[in-house]
Amino acid sequence: MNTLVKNIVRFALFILVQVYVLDKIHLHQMVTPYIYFLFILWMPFRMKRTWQMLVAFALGFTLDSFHHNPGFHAAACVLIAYIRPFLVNLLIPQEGADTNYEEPSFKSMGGFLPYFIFTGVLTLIHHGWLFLLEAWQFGNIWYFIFKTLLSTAVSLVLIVVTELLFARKQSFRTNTA
Amino acid sequence: MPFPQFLFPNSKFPSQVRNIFLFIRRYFNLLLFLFLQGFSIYLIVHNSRYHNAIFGSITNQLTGKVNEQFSRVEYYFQLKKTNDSLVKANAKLYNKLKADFELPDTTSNIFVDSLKVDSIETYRKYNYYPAKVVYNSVAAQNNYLVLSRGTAQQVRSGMGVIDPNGSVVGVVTDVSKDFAVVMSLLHKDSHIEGMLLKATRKQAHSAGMAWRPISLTFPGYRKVRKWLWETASYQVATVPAYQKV
Repeated sequence: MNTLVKNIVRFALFILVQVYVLDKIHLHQMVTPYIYFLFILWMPFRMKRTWQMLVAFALGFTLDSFHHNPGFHAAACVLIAYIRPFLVNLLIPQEGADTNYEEPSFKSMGGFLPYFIFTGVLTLIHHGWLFLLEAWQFGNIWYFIFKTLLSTAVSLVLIVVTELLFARKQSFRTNTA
Repeated sequence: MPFPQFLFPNSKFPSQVRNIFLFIRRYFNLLLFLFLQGFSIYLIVHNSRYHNAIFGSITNQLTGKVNEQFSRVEYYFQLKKTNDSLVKANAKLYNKLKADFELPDTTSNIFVDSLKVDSIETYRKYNYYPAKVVYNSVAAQNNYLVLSRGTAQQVRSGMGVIDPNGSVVGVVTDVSKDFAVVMSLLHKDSHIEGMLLKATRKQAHSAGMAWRPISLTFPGYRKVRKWLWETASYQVATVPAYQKV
């Protein structure tokens, strides 16, 4: 499938799953399961950083529109879209791996651990910034810390399950082909 | 980011201006990042109470359409619950039938506006409109509902919303053509004035109630929450100055 079409479908699916499945689950006051931002983690390597941030803003703004509370998710999404390329450069196994594969995955990042660090750090940053912005209005530091850590743990479990359930085919691309 | 150099040949600008362009070109991503963050925070700060007026009705209408489709599916799963609450509401209405009373119904005096000159006739103080909930959140920091009824169906912002049991649900804050956004009681900025009916005769308690969902250190938190739930569920809270929907 064309990368553009694939990503448009993903965008819609992630938003719908987040709004109509995960937002309906009330595990605990402290835990909010999030998965929609996996769209940002899965964006292609060769996408321009400017576009990554603009698309991330659009994703966050769409989710905010459903929550009738604009700004929160948009800010968090833009932040992780900005940080993502730095992390990719740090964690990519060898020079040029980001041109051989299309997007981040277990395979393209060279194993479970680097990919897990990649997702873990970005999830923590996303949740941290999101709940910090919310906590600014409510103001309770311990609530913020616990909510961030617990939600990050739950989101990571969800991401791993998603990766195992929907295995993405990552074909090795070479210049010669 | 490609910089349109051909539009600005170096010779035409003094060096300061050229430096500005070079700076923008060098740090374009950082500047875009800061701009988007700033815009998001502007949206947060600007919309803490009421929904954004510019995007508000457009996004409202769009998300409302999607919500409606999904609530159609969800509606089937709640038919039993809906039926129960309808039976309850029906029973309550039957109890209010004037034909069932032999003496003049004194309870209706509550709704008579005493300032009117003609004290024999009763005046309609509230109009009740039915509306279907297409979106509802309860676990977020700021909770909203969306009703499938908008300006085209006589909903204005500022109207009060009650549930089938007569309990307060919230206040309409934002209306588009077919949908209304309701700030529920479970919202940071929700202030509903309440009164305890049993205590009204001698000592009329009147207090502004606010929902504080996460302030764990707030001393009377449990008390306030309990009181709020009791007030909401025993329908003694009145919403002044708003027309009920």
